[in-house]
Amino acid sequence: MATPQYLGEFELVVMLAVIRLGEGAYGVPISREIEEKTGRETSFGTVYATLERLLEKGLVRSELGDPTPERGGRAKRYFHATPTGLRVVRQTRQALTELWHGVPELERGMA
Amino acid sequence: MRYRHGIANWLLRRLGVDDALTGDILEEYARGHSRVWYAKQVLGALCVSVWCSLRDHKLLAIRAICVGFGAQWAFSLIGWYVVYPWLRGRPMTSVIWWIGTQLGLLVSSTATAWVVARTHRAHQAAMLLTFMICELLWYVYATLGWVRMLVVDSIDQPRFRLYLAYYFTTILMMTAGTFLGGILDPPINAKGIPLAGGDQNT
Repeated sequence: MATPQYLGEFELVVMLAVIRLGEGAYGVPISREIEEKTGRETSFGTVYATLERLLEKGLVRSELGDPTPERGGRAKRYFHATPTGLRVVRQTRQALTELWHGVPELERGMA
Repeated sequence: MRYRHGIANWLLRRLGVDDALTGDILEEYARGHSRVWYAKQVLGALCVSVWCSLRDHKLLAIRAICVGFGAQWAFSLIGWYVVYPWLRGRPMTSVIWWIGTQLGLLVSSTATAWVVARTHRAHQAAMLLTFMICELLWYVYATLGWVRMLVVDSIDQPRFRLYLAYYFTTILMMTAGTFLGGILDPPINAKGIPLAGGDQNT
């Protein structure tokens, strides 16, 4: 059996944003989604560095869209989660949930 | 919509930052973000780009340092034989000495940086920056005792301030030469395609 692969904290955040956005996931909406949902200000450089890492791990794939004038003639780069990426996100959630359960200090806070 | 900051965009393209990333920054900036936001995003993108190049190409970075110091040694030797006979006998505080040595340093630093850039065209910015940092660290380390003495002496003896200024001009010339050498050689991407310097809509 293969060793389960887990995601780092920001990798998980970016993966979830990519999955939530579906077909329209490129740099701008990904950053916006992260900011809206987590309240955390991100720079495009950090998001792209993480996406590059996820690409190398085969957890996302990317494709170029058409160049548009409002982007200075530059194309959008769309990102999609791969089946491996989806599996790794589920594994990470399972591992985190197991760690979460049975900790009285945390469960009290949930109530 | 706003399309400005030609220098920042040129820098992004020149340093090989992903075109899609540059496009995202421009798209978001056009929606009304501040200049400070724009500068922060550009700086972040540049840092990430350089850091990723270094992380993925450590051996290339070592090669860039070796090539750089080798080229610098060769050009300094040439400079020594060409410039020094012309300056011999003149005091170090004379204008001729100052201009001659600083100009020689600028030319040799430019030539050295050009060699480094030419031999590492696919990761030019990261490799040049690595070499420049090593070169400056080496220079500061090698002259640390002398500079410490100069700083102390300059406090109560103004004549030493000229030597201190000379020291800082040397660092400035080394840095300027490295940038100039980098600009002289057009970079290419990992596929060997030249990165265009122009920007269509800025």
